[in-house]
Order: sequence, then C-alpha cells, then structure tokens
Amino acid sequence: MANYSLQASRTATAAKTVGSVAATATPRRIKIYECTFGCSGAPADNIFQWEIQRFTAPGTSTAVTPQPLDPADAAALTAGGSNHTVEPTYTGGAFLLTVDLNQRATFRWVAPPGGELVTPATNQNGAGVLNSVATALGVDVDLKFQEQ
Amino acid sequence: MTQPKGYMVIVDPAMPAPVEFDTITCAHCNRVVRVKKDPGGFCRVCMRALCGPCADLGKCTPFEKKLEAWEARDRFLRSVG
Repeated sequence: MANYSLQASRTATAAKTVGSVAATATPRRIKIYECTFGCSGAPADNIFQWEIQRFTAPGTSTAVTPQPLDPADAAALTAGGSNHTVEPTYTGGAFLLTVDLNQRATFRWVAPPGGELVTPATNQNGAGVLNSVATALGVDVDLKFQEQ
Repeated sequence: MTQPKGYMVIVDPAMPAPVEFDTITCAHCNRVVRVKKDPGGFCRVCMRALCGPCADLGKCTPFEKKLEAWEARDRFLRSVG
C-alpha cells in the first residue's frame, strides 16, 4: 500500500467542501489515516464546524494531484479535489469525523493502523472535508491516505 | 477504554497548552469519536471498540462487511450495464 498526501484549500464560495478524495474508474479503497485542519486568514474569534463525510459523487472542484510520500511509489489512482464549486453528493448522516474549532485553532487527527477512515473501491465514491466558513477566509486541509 | 485507537490534538492560542484526546474508530460505522466525550461500547463478537449509537443497536455488523456489500452492489450494477 502506498501513502499519499493531499493539500486542499478554499475561500468563500457557495459550496462548503474544502477538499475531497474520490475513487476513479480504476477504483481503490481510500484509507485516510491523518488529517490536519486550519485557517490561514487573519486571527479572529469565529467558530468553525469541520466535518468529514462520505459521498457517492465528487461534484465539481479544482483537481489536485495526490503526491506519493515515497517517490518510488506509483501515481495515485485516487482523484483529489479542492475548492469545490458544486458540492459532492453526500451520503446523509455518514459523518466520519466532526469537530468544532475556533478560527485560531489548528486540529490534527491521526489513526493507528486499522483505525483509518475507509471508503469503498467504487467509482466516484469517497470522502469530503467540509466547513461552515461563510466569509472570505482561507481554510486549509491536509489529508494523508493510503490506497488499497 | 483500555485501548484507544487514535490521537487528536487541538492547538489553540487561547489555551495554555495543546488539548489532546484519545479517539476510537467505530468498528461498525467507521466514525471517529473522542473517548472522553463518547466512551461508546465494545463488541464482544468482533472484539472491537464501538461508538455509542452502534453499541446501542446491540448487533454485530463489521464495517468491512458493509464495504464489501457496497463494492459488490457496484460490480453488479456495472455488469448489467
């Protein structure tokens, strides 16, 4: 299994999704084992709700190429997306991680082997990172995942 | 919870130190929950930690089974065009 890194960011748009990973026509299971959230805007006191949710279609976004952490690994078969303009088709209630943070705070979650967030090896299925930013603030996400 | 499965840290300048939590990833729904906030439960069939709502269901449906079902459904739909 190869490990990949994906960075995504968003400023104010109608959509809420900051970044996503989705299986393609050559589907693989995606196992997210680490994620970091933060805000790159000027410090202020606002509350953000961050969520990771499953989807069955990835919507419209700026393509981001996941980078292999080991340069010897092959390119990812997973599609990465950032700064969505059309929201993915989220699965109702399929929230994998939810956390409320002050805008000033940075968040990191790490799973040990066996505790990853897993999406099925099904074309266009994946997971997206959403937050509730309504103003022109930059928010950033770093995802680490494996393909299987 | 004797064996938390993950680690969560929040670095907030308003706090005197980073806030750390242990987490578990539910073996039945794959959701991440903080151990202190939601201790959840433990499945004695698959011998893994669960979130509260899955523990309340009282039955064992491992997440791996759900993944296999989703993938099988997709393969079937593609095979019939």
